Order: sequence, then C-alpha cells, then structure tokens
Amino acid sequence: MSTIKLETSDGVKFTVKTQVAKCSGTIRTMLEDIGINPQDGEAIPLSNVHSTILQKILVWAEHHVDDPEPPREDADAAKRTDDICSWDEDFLKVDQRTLFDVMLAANYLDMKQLIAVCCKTVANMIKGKTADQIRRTFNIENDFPPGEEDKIRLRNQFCEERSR
Amino acid sequence: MTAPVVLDSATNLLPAKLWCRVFQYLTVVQLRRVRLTCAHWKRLVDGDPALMERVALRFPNGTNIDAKFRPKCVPPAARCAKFYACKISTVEPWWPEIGRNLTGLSLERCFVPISTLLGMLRRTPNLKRLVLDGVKHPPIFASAVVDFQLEQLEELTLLNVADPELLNLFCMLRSPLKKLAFNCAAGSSSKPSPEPLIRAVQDTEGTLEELRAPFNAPLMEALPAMGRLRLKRAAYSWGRGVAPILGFCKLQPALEELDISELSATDLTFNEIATLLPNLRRFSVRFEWESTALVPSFLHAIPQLEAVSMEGPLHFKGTQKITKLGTFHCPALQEFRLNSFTIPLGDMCQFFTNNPQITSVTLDQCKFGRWTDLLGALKRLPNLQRLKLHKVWTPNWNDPAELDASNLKYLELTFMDIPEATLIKLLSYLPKLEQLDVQFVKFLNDRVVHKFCQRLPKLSKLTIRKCPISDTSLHHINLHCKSLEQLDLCQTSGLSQQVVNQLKSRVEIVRFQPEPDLASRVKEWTLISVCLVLLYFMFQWYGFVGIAIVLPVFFALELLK
Repeated sequence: MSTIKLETSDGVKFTVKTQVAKCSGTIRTMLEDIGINPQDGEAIPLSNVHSTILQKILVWAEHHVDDPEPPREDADAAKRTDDICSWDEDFLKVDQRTLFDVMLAANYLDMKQLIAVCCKTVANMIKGKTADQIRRTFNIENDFPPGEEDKIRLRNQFCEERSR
Repeated sequence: MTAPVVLDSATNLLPAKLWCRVFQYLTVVQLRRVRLTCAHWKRLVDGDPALMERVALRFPNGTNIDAKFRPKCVPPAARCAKFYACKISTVEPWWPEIGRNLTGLSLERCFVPISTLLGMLRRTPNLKRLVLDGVKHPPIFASAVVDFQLEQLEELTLLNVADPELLNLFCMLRSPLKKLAFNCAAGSSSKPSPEPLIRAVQDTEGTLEELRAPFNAPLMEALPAMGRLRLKRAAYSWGRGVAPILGFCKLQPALEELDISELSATDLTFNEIATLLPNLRRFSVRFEWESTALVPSFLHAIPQLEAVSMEGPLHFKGTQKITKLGTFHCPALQEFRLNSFTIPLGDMCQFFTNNPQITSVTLDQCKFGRWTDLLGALKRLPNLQRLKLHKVWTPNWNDPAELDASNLKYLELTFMDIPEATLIKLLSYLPKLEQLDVQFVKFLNDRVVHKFCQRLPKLSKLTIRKCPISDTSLHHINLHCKSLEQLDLCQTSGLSQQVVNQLKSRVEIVRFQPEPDLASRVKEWTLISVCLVLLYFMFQWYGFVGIAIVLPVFFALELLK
C-alpha cells in the first residue's frame, strides 16, 4: 500500500494512503498529470488548508474511499437535501466556522462529494426559516435601506417555481 | 452542543460560487426568503442563471393588462412567465426587458388580440417553450403579419384553440419544433379543417419528437409520405377502430411513449403494439368492455415498461373486473395508474409485492373489497413517493388503518368519502410528506386538520378545497405546520379573510378566493329569474319595443352594481 505525505499551511505533515488522498481531485491531478513523485519522500504542500481541517477531511475520505460515482441529478428542480447519510450527518455536526472551513478546503481540494454534502447541510440550515431567522442563524446584517425590503417582498410575489 | 459565537457574517466566509451551490438545494419559495436577507445574497440569487432558470414570473390572476399597467417593480431576470385569466391589450413599454430573458411563456384562459400576442412574441427571441391554453381572441384576419421567426422554439402547446387558423400563424414562425400539442376547444367549429395540423407536422418533420393532436383521416394519409418524421412520444386520439393505430405504430417504430387512451381496444391489440414498438417505455391504454374478467397480458410483452396507465371501459362506472394482476412482474415499472376497475385485492397485493420498485400510484374510480386491504397492498411498496386516490370506493370504510408509507412525498385525495376516524388514521404516519392535496373530501373537518397538522413535520405545500373546514383549522395550521410554504384555500367557504391574512405573515404563498355563500347565490339567481320573467311579459305586451325599453334599464343596473 503506497502512501504519500501532505503538508498543511501550519507546517504539519500527514502520511496518507495514496488511494485516500486521491479522493481529492487536486491531489489526483498533481500525482497523475503533473507527475509529482511521492516516493521521493517530499511532502505535497497544501498551503490553503489548516491541519485541524485536513485531519477532519482525511477522516471523511477514509470512510468514503470506496464510494461509487453518484448518479447525475436533474438540474431543473431543487435538488434533494434529505439524502445525507447518517454518518455524514454526525460528521458535520460541528460549529458553523468549522463547517465553512471544511467546505473551503473541500473546494480547494476539489472533492465534489464532500462539497455536495456540506452544501446540503447548509441548505438545511436555511430551509423552513424566515428571512429574519436566516439572518440570526448566519449572523447577517440587514443592509437594505428602509422600505427596500417591502419592495422586494412585493416583487417576490411574482416569483414561483416553474412547473414542468 | 453549543456553537461558539460567530463573529464574522457568514456571507463573507464562503465565496459566491459556494453560496450559489448551497442555493441550488433550495426551492423558489426559499430563494424568495434568501433574497430578503441581505443585498449580497439578493445579488447572488438574481445573478445566477441556473437558479433563475427555475423561477417563473406569475402575473396575478385576472389582471387587466392595458396601457396603464406596469409590473410593480420589474421582477428579476426570470426565464419563464405565466399569465392566467388576464385580459391583455398592450404590454408596451415594459415587455421587451422581460421578454428578452424568457425561455418559457404560458398564457392560460387569457383574452389577447392576435396583434398583441405577436407583438409579445416578437420580443422573446430566446423562447423555447410556449403554451397557449384556452386563449380567446378576436377573429384572425388573413392580414395578420408574421415578419419574425422564433428560431429557438422547441415546444409549442396550443390547447382549447378557438380558431385552428392560429396554428397557421405559428407555422410562419419557422421554429424547429420538437414538441407539438394541439387541440380545439369543444364547441368551436364542429369540424376543424385538418390542413393547418398537417402543414405544421410537415414543416417540422425533421425535428419533431412529440405529437399530441387529434388524428384524422387526412393526417393519417399524409403521414407515410413524411419519411423524416421520427416520433418518440405521441398521444393518439382517433376512435376509428384499431387498424389505423397499428398502421401508425408501424410507421413510427421509434416511439417510447404512446397514449391511446382515447381509443378502446383489447389486450390483443396492445400485445400487437408491444411487438411493433421495441422501445416503448410509457403506455396509456383503455380497455373495451369484456364480460369475463380482463387480463392485461400485454404487461408481459413489454419488460422495459416504466409507466403504465390502464383505463376500464367508459360508461361502466368501474364495474369491469381486472384479474391476474398478481402474476405480472414489470422490472422497470415506476408509475402505475388504474382507472375504472374493480380489483380483487389479493391481486393488487401480489402485484405490488412483485413490483416493489414502483414509486408512483394513481387509483381513479376503482372499487375494492376492504379499505384495510388496499392500505395493506400499498404497504408492499417501500419506495412509494406519490399516491393519488380519486373517487376510490369500498363498501367497508370503518376500519381505520395507517397508511404506512415512510417515503411518501405527495398525497392527493379527491372525491373520497372516507369517514373521519379513518381519515385521521390514514394521515397519522407520513414522516416525509411534503405535499398534501385534499379536494371534495366531505369528512375533512377541523378535527382532522388538527390531528394531521401535528403529524406531518415536512409538509410544505397544502391544498384544501371544498372541504368543511373553518377558521379553527387555519389556527391549527398556523400553530403546527412549521415548514409550510404554500397554502391553497380556493373555493373553500366558511373562512374569514382576516384569519387568512394572519397566515400570510408566516406562509409565503397563500391563495384564497372565498366561495360565494349560498345566500348570495340564491339572491343572484332570484334577481336573474325576475329579470327574465319581466322581459318575457314586456315582449308579450309591447313586442320588441318592450325589450328595447327593459334592456337599457338592466345594463344601467349592472353598471351601478
């Protein structure tokens, strides 16, 4: 079983099974296309990822390393958010900041499945809430000039789901 | 677990690209709330073409769109617009800005002069789907000029058309149609001339994949000459025996979807069609009356079938028996619909056991032995997501049982005489139900609403029409249905506008048009009959002069009202 080394932004080195590391599209490209040779013992630098986050992501990748390719979803309708597996649900029970950091790192590492499951988790935090509740959840300031909100609300009445 | 205080606003913690990916998982109603949250998110939603693709602009029902009308604020760059029961006389000057973004446009039961309609279409160069249903217009004159083309238009739906000439106009748009649906309004010219339809099919021979239209002898004669026509989906309605439909299937062997439910035929014919169409995936049929019980053996002949709809013979009120269903196994079947049959329950149960992959079931005017047996049969479908029951009848209701469907998302009950206790039990365990549609269910009262409100945690869309509910129900809905986004209460009497308005602050879309109550209807009819009697006597006494005196008085009264 071949392994490679990864180095995070804070200088921590991880030794990872190649197969697990290849869950990341970015690392896969480095190994396969650019031809970085991991046998040299030199660590691949991941300058955008902190060690605490990488540790978490590696746990996820280890668990999902044998997953089959997911089926393509219909882009026309709102996608499902109720199909998060219970392992992922527990895995993402973290504070908001960590969740966003995992998302950013997954984005940097190009891990589509992890991004999708994070997006679903965040979407579930928005679902069923009023604008005010959403603001409170995400600590957003209402920056509309007075009166503007009512205007948008009026305009919103024109919008509804397109039926096929 | 308590989350630590987040200091930064979350909007800045993720790049725009990732937020847009999150928003992909939200419905339009949720997106409306996101747009209200802050300016940054509003910009993101409005600027994302994939999100806007799903948004439809809906003009309020019954709007009079004339020179004075302006959409209150021009809504965002939506790709689809709908008009329902609007009177449109002119859409200048605001239309071009909306029109140029549109890929879909739908006008239902609208009144619009042809010149205005053409003026609208001239400004929608990117239009892909157009629906005109029950559109009324002044007579089309030969002088109507079409001096533009819709080069992107792929789907054209013209339903309940008053004048078939309308189709001729659309032929001039030279669109590369993939789908054409066309029929004439009942009671328009008794025999619409077949030429416009034939010409429309000829013009789009190379691209057309879907045709839903009244077939007739001239069209059937013209079809063999159209060598490039390769249909994938068709709705065939021409009740002249089975020979023409077999001929049609021979001409179009690529068909994947075929609806011949306008035509009564036997199982033998369906078997023959199955051998002619090797790619058939969706099939809608209607059976002829058979005195012995009927066996749908064609199901064996089409193993790739994904959707099937079987109707019993017309005018027999569901007394046609269908048997041996339990012996069929359709490995690909997802959608199953039965209409007007009497079904031995052992069969239904066995059929569902053989085909547990079914996700959608519709039972229409069917008769069953016992209610509990039907629910027991449905229990065999672990993947069931959509269930529609319409006028389903059983002699034995009084046996409440749960509908144990843990994956059900959509449930529709119309014209069902389910007693209260059975109804409460039916709606008691549906953890994933998102959409509930109940119409003409006479025992759906406040008590039932009270019970189901507390037990459907995911309910986001609720429709209750013509059911005996009162304001108490609305209070329950307000209190318990936390994820409700859309509520439709049209044609429901006994509700007060004030309570409905309270709901509007929490539920995003509320539709409510109170049914005029009995007293006001009686008053209206009395007035009309008095007028008619008066008219009759004036005519008797004074001839036409009498009518000439009375009519202006009536119109004056109508204006005053």
